[in-house]
Amino acid sequence: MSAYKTIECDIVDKDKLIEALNLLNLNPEIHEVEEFLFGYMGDQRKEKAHIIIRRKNINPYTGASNDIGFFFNGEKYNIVISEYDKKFNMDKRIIQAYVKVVLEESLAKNGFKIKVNIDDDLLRQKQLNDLDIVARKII
Amino acid sequence: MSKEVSLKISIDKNGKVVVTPENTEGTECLDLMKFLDKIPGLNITTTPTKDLEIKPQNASNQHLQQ
Repeated sequence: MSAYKTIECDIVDKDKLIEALNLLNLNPEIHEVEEFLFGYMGDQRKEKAHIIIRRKNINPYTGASNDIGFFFNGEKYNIVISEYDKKFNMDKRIIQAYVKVVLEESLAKNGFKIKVNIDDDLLRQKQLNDLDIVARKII
Repeated sequence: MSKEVSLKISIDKNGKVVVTPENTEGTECLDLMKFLDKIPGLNITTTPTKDLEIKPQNASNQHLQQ
């Protein structure tokens, strides 16, 4: 063993973000022009986003969510999320799924065979789990 | 001779990712993980472990003087 790497993530890839959201059964809406988000009472909020997860799709994780959005600023997607949904770690859950999708594709492209410690059903459980990937390759 | 190498990647509940290589070291290890630096949006910090630490220059000089 030698160096190890610590990775932080910005969401920059639209397709991978959509794949990650679908992996979590969040059924994102994709808009060319940003649209308004709605709160848990159905009230229109002032915030807008290009990719939107409607609250009914988040409720299985949280109970009474507000819409979550992803606003593209020309370089990356910023998560627009309520304090309530943040308290349930929805932002972390989405980033974890996004990193999984991005890394898995990159590892496969570079000839690694991949094994993940939990299957996709467990990713969709209410409780957020740590995720371990073992990637192997003959050199 | 060929060998199997592996990367253990953990993504914790905070979205923090740590990649730990196994059965590889030194420049081979760095080359193996180079592709990670090219993934857009991932901000990667490499932490060298013992085998990559730079030995102090005067250590080799002392050897020559002996």
